Amino acid sequence: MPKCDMCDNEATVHEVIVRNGQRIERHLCEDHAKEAGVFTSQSFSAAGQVVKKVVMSQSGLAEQAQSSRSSCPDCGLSFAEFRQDGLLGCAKCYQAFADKLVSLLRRAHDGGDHHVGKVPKRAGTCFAKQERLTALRKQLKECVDLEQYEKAASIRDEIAEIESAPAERLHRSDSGEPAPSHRSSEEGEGD
Amino acid sequence: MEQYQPPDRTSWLTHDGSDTDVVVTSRVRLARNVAGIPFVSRCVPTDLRGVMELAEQSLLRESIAPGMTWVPLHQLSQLDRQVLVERHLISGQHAKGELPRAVAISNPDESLSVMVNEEDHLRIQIIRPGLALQDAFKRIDAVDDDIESRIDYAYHPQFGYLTACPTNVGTGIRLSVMLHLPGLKLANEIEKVRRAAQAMSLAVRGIYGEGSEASGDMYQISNQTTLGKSEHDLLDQFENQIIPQVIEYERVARRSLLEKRRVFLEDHVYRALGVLRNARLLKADEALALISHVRLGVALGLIEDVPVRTLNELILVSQPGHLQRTIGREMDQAERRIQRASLVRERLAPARPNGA
Repeated sequence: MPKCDMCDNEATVHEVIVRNGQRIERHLCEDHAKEAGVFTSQSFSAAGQVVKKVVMSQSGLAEQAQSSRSSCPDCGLSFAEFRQDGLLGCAKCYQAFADKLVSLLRRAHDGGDHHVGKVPKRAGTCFAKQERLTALRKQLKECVDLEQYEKAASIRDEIAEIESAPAERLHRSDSGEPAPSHRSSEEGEGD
Repeated sequence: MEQYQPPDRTSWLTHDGSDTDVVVTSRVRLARNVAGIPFVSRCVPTDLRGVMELAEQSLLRESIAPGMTWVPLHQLSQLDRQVLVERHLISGQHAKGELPRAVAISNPDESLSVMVNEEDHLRIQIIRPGLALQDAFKRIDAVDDDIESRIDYAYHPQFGYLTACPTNVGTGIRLSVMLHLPGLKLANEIEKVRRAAQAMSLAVRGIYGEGSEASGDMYQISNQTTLGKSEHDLLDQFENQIIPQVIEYERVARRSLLEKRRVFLEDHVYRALGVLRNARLLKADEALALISHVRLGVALGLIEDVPVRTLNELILVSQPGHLQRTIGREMDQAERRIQRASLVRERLAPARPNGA
């Protein structure tokens, strides 16, 4: 077990600071971390700062540091750019920034973070579905690599759900049911 | 490309809806984006043209609405754009800029309009006179289905319809009711309405949307929540809860003014009519405020020779864009004041002797 930089206790908080491309690591015990003012993962600081503090209790530090200054793989928009003008760049941004967006969405939508209401009839048939599956599978792999099993499980469930969605269900309004087609929020349980 | 010639009357002026003593218009808007194309702010011109082509093909069909007309805004003069803004057919933001953008309008009733390449690829809107949200929703839902038979929308199971701004994501719907609240204004009760609306996560704005002041005692109440609340729940909240309450509240305020402060009210109303019928210079805001007072007088039966429809038309024609279009040329502010006053005098001229 790694020891705290300040004492002989076990280090449970690991901090990586990337400043001008230079990487500085700190390993601290709970008490010294508090004393040093190191944030815990709950207060994950916003992207787009010169100094990025990333704290995790276990491995995967480098990857995590990378993801905090992440940009959308499709359109290249960074989270900092989004912060500036409040507009996302493309559909994929929602996937790319999902973690950070959820708290923002809850604030903007009276606590809402799941769609309830109309569903496009062709949602399952177009290529967007394939696109999403590709993205989800990539995410799943990343989560497994990062040992974020809880999140991985929910992604796996979401993939299973999309794959098992029968085409008929997505076309139900064609059978003469009154439009719009509605569904409850239990579908699409994602991260 | 033919120039779009807006008809003299636009649908929301007709004044034949329900609760039109208080409710001016009901609007429903849906924000939609095309799957596989970046949102507008990240689009290169080729993407924007792609959206335009797709939208034009999908929207100019009889099944969407009869008389759908395609108006490429980037080719339109500033004045023509302003006219469309004043009619609530496009937003102020959409009027600006020279990149490929358009609006498709159902002509001549103008009840349906679809902004193309505004903040989102498509912003579909239905506007109706009076309180008619259910009706407007039914119509827009059918239009949405029809468009979706041609266009794949960007959609995500958790987040719903994806929009450029996360504040619109989910249903992408905005219900918006324009209310005329002169009674509450005179009784100093507007702040209460504002607070009640805010407590229900609703926004209260002026006649021309975001950031605009409530001129002419016109207030727009609209939802802000689009994620986690279905279209039907929202409609129910509007049509069965908040709006009927505000309407009733306004009517009570009017009645109470009539009973307890009748002379004050009459002075207010007749003075406004007097100014409108005699002024030689009128600013736009002043005209709106005076028209509002006369509208109140008509609603309470104090004024009998002025139809509300005429007042609604005056609200529109007092706007700088419409005024210049009516007169037929561009004018500076000073001249607009003269022409506005003269137009208002003409339209409000007392009825011929047989009337009273």
